[in-house]
Amino acid sequence: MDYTIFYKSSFENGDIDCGTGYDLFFSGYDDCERTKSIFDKIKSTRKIWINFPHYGLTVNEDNVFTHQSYKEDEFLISLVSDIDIQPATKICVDITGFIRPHLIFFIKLLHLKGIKKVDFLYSEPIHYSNAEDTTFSGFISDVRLIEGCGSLINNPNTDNDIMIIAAGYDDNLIAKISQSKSKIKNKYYILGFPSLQADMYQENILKLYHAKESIGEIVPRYAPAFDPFVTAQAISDIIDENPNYSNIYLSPLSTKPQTLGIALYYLWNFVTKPINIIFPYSNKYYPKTAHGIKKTWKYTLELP
Amino acid sequence: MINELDNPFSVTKATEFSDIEIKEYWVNFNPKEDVSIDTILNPNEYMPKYIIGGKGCGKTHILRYFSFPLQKIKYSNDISLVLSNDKYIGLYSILNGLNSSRFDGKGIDESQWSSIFEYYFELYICDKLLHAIKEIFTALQLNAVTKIQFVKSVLAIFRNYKALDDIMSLDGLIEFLFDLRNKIDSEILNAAFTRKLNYEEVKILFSPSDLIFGIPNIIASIVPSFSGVKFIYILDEYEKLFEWQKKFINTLVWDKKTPVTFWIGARRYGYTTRETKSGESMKNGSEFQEVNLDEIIRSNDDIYRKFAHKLYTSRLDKYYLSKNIRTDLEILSKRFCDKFEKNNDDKIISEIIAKNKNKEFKHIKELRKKLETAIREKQALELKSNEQVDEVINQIKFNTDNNPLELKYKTFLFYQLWYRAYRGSQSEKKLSNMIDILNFINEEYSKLKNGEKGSFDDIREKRKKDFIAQLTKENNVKNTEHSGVDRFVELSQGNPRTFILILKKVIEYSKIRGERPLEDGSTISLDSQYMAVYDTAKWFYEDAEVFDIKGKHMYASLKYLTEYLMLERFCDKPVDTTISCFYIKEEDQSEKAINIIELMKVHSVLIEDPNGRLGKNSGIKERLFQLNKVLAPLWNLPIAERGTIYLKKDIAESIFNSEYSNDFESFYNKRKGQLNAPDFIKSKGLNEEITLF
Repeated sequence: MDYTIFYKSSFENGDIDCGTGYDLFFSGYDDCERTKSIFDKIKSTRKIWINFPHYGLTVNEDNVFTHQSYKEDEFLISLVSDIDIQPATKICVDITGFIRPHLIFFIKLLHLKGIKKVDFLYSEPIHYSNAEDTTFSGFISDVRLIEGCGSLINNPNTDNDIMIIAAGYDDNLIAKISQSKSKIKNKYYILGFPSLQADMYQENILKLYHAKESIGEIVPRYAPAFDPFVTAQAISDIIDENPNYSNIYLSPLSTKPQTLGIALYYLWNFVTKPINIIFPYSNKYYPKTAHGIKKTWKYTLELP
Repeated sequence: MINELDNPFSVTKATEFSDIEIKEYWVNFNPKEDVSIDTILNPNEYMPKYIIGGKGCGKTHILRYFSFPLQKIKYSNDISLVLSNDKYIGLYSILNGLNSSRFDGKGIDESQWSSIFEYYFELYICDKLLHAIKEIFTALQLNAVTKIQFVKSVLAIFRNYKALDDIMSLDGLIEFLFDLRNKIDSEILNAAFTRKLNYEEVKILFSPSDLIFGIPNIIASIVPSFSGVKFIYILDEYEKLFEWQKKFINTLVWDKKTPVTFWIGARRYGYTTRETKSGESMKNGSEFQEVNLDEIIRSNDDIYRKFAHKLYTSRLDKYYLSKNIRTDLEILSKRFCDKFEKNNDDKIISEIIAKNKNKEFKHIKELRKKLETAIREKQALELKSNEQVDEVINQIKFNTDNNPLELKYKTFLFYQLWYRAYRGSQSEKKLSNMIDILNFINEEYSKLKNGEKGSFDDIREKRKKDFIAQLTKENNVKNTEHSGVDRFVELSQGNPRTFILILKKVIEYSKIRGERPLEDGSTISLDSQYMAVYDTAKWFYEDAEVFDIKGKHMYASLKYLTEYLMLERFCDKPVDTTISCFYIKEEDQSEKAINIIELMKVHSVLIEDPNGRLGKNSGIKERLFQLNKVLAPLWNLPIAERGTIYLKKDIAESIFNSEYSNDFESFYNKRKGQLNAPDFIKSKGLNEEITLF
């Protein structure tokens, strides 16, 4: 399968082409201008702000979904329990303010509800609060598989396990994931190139090498930081190169579009391949890390 | 293959070794001259073992070394010899492969998860067992009747065995187990969305432990070659399981049935329970044997040194052999050790002098500033003016050739005598004014210069390292005191991975500097060695696998502790020399503080002296700790086990108990005042109780 044939487009200043509009629009509330602006501009019958407890924000908006659980399954099952989602429902999700494991679980949940096509939006900021030193998450509480995103065929022979990490800015996350699966010899790192901001790629490399002794040998691969489809393709290529894999672990530690790429690859392959998505969880994420809105991407994912 | 790489120390983790390399790079470890690690583990006995150790202690290398793939390599794939000579089959499994965190949550209660996990665990572990058996059957060329008899006997363990008539082969049996596992995997996955398990799909088809113990028993009874052969389930990464899952494993260990036994590998921080499911605790020594690799290795410095020596010579030998260079091992080792540039204090001093050309050394500037402050505060004895301060400085500089270390010796004695004169404790020597103090210092210093005995002998002998550390810190110069292979062995404090990692980084940094470290006649600079040691320390610091708030507290405690230890070293008037150890009275401390200390211990951030320290008056054993030596270079702290500080109750609480961490700054400032001029004048004495108010 060629993942790069999926449709993507970009818009300046948040001026999205919504076509005839959506039935449902979801967006994670992170108190950033880029998410608020899109929320206002999108054409949808119903718009829902998702207030993740990780940001610790009190949201004074209408149509806010709030739930106290940090766990992706409990949180999102509660979200959709009161919403009528049918296979024909037209859905758009702004992933910019989403928590990564929640995003992946949400996509799988929509897939199980029979949704075959979803539009996802991601807005690039003009800049981050502290450039390369921006802190996105707090202390890691746990490293585990994302709920509902494990393998259907867990192989007891672990000799040829592969781990593919979409490696972002936080070398601590990379180190924690690598430690948690320290017995996996074959580890690949997908770096965001081109990156979202100037210098981010160089910084990414530096951060990766900073965690070198925890993660072992580094085999870098590349996919644009803004492109889920090339990311899925890069994963596919790695797996094709390792046909004797025993188990496959994917870890989304980079941008939200690359996270989307991991979800896409998983959904198209988890029935036939032993794929797991693993994540280092933190109960704290920092809101308002980004400023301004530069470009908004729209990705149309078609699900199996 | 490692021998194709440019750095013989590039592989620091057993995971990165192939099975063949596990054998090639195996170095036996002898805790005593006549006892080796394989005699301690002793696969010939049924006693289960819990093999415990921190990261990098060599646990995985050891466990894999005893596994079936390595046994085959050892006997050149002659499986008959494996059975007849070794008399055991080592079935190595990584427990983390179970992804045990799946068996939790999803709206399903723990008792249901417990049943499913136990059932799944047996199916999972027996897959490896059946694959090994299949290989052995093929190698032994067993007849079809025996094979079918075996398969049917195994199937008879299942409640629905009558429905399994069509399974006639080992492959069929393996596939059957695969299908059962697959159904559970699928149910677990779906449960995240459906919030329930379909019990028809995950119906338990055999009694607990019937498979894991039953299959080895069947094979032993029907295949004569297996007579007297043990099946050792080697289960690594026990620390990754939930507590209730660990208790289940403990229960299997407790209930083990011939011909099965267990070796469980665990990181120290994850070896948290000895309880079984019934709530009873297993007894070390009678029901299982705990093999604490860290303690074994650290208990004998000499033997660890020999082990480390074998480790690096073995790597070098393989590296040079791959380049068709054969050398006697002792010569190889000597040549390698000789490459390391030796630490030279004079070189550090010269660098500091060069950095301060045409300007006053920082410690002299500080002295000047402190005297001026003291004059304002009326604490400078008879000194009244800046001109007099200049004269003091001139006297301190006298005869030192402006050598910063010599100046350190003199300023230290000056601070000591100033303090004593002010407090009147020097009256017997009549050193109650600056003139007498400076005369005394210069007289004593002349003795030093003339090779006569005097006050400076002791200062130079005991405090030189601390003063060099102070000078390097003040002048932003690298303290290259950690140089040479022997020192790296000492720094690694019984941890082979740390030792190999330092060497790996030494080679890397040396290559970057164009030193050609592996070629004949080359020299590995002090700079490369410094960078390697510092980098390894940084890795060790950042690599602790500690999660959540506990991790936050542990790192905060480490920060406070090192700040406090630094205070003792980097001050005007250090009390003790080279302080790297501290002791506490356990009965004084809160549970919270002790828990953090224990956490730092299981992550090898702190190393506890098992002998402790006997209280001078009470005779009670106090707990004595040292900061792991590998971490010391991060803060320019000493590694010698010489100086020890007592952390009184409240200070220890402010360091190790997050509830009292707000008090730390105040304790820190008070101690700082006691150790530095001119504030030490105000303090009642160094042994004055430091209190908050």
